[in-house]
Amino acid sequence: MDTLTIALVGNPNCGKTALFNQLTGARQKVANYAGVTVERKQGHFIAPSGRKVQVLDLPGTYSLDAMGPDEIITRDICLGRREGETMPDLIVCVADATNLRLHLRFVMEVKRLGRPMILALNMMDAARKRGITIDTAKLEAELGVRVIETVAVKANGTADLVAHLDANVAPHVPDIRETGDLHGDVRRILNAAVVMPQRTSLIDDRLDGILLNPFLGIPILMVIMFVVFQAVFTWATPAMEAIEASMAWLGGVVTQTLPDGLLKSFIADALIGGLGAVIVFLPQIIILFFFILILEESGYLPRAAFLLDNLMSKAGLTGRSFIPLLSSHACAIPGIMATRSIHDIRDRITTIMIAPLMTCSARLPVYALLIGAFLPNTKVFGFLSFQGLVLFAMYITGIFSGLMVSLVIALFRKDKSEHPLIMELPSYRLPHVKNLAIGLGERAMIFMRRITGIIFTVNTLLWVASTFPGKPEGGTLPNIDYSFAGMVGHWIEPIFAPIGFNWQICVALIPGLAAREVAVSALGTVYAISGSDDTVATQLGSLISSQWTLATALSLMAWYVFAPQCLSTLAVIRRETNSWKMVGVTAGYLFALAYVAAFITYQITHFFVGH
Amino acid sequence: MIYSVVQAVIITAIVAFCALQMLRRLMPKLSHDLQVRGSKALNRADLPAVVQSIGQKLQPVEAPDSGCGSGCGSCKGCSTSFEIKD
Repeated sequence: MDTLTIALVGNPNCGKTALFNQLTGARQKVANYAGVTVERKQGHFIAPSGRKVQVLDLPGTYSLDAMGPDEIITRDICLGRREGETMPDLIVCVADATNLRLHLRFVMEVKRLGRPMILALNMMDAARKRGITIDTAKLEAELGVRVIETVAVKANGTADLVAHLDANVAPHVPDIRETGDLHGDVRRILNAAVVMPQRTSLIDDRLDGILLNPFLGIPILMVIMFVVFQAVFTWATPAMEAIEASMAWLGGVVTQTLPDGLLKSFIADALIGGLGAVIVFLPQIIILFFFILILEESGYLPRAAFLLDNLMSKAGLTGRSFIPLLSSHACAIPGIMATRSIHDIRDRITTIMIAPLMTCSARLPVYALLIGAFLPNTKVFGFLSFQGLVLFAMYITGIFSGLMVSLVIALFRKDKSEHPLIMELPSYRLPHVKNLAIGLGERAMIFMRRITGIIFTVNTLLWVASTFPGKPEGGTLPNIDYSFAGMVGHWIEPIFAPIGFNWQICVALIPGLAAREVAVSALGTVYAISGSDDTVATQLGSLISSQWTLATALSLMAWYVFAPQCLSTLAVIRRETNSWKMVGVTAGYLFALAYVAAFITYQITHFFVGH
Repeated sequence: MIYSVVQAVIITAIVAFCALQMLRRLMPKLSHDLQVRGSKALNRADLPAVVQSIGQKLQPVEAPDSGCGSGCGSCKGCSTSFEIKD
């Protein structure tokens, strides 16, 4: 019996790979296509009649317009143009039944290739659950392509597809007479064969009419973000005060119980003073992610991308940059890795270069500490928290700086071509409590793992550097002034003096390169060792507010907007670009911006406020 | 006296652990090479069985390739990296 070769094609997230896995099981070979880093997945299965079916899982793509390597490969293999690849006998186009409005567009493009094909209508169970009615017979008639329902994630969900492939039916070449209007054809087919649940689509349309309104959309987005940052400051206060009180109590117990010595200093200064200063910010991080998860679950986040697409393209960014930049607000590392979905190398480099400017969650403890310590907790217009307003402004500054840098890069670009964004806008839905709880649990665990991992490690080493060598005989200054860390701090202080940083901040910035929030724990440890009062670090905010000027605090905030205080981010840039030059350029321009911004902030504040 | 010894041992162990963690994080290749060398030195046939078993335990576990050949498929076939001429 002859072997049948099929190729699976479809949009990303249509369940194509799940279908491939379901069909082929463990009988897969994974390699790269020659000359490019696009994954080639091939497998096979034996149909009930004994017929061998070779399955090729082609890269997921939104279009066959040859804009990226994956699109070129998909198109060339379907047409038998790729050297060393057998032309498939049949193209199995996989489409997500819950989102045919988007996926049918690609189906029509594949149909236009004029090759034998069938349509695997995947996720039919999910479509039925959502009340979407698809008349497959009508769909088949309108498309002129055989349609087979599949549920790739269920064991018997591919039975009909396997039966069809096993039946040895002569592959059907679709009629490719088209009107030329792809969107019009899709609309016509949807009207004929698909009935969306009226209530859902009605609610979606009404909400989109307001939330995606050209005049109202952006202001509503701003208000939502504004409310989030207000809540971060106002809702978190009781929990933060409770944690602070617990840390102060624990510090008191340790001070009274343990005899003087290294162990007492380590527990009081490095653990309670250092780690305790960071753990206080857990409630704020949970509240921030609570809102982000709600926006994501409700289906609003892709709409925010849609709203900002126009603004981003004006700043020389592609719409595909939105998700990497959004991810960078949690952490720049996954954000930079997410740029892999950007096909154009120049667009990708621009996105990688500005991703560290987005305010990651590691900056939150730094901003929260400085805002809480130096800015009054007053109300603006009687109900808005001033501190929340400043935090909101810090996030906006990060985004605005990123757009400005992108604009400057765009000015030097020779290739001015634009790459339009196609994205799925899912239906609005109420966030699921269980999903929210799981998401928040994960975020809390990530934060706690950072505290017990990198922050603990770096802080312990800083404690060693701040404790040894001890005070010499006749020394009058605190112990830390004679330590290695103190010496380094005093040595580099002149470089940072013009931007208002004292030697303690200089010391904290060095371990802060391992992770931004380490700077907070480092300050806690440095001040705890410097001070005679062992519980002093548990009130780090009040301590720095009495020792620093407002100009220094604002200067440090400006520094943190720009400075690449994260070695892991630079390492990921190196890995993703294969270039030390890119790491140098990114770190260089970010440090330069940080220094200039901090200098301007410090000098202006110093001029107007004095101290 | 005993307390001084105990606290010195505890602090030394914690600091050594942290230094090792930082070495692994900041210099993964050097840390891997040192681990391999240490493992080979302890896993010699002329050494006692206990030392050899420590050497075997010290041998680094080779993680599977995380690139395109690993078959993880998490990147959905997207290009993972590109070359920029330095």
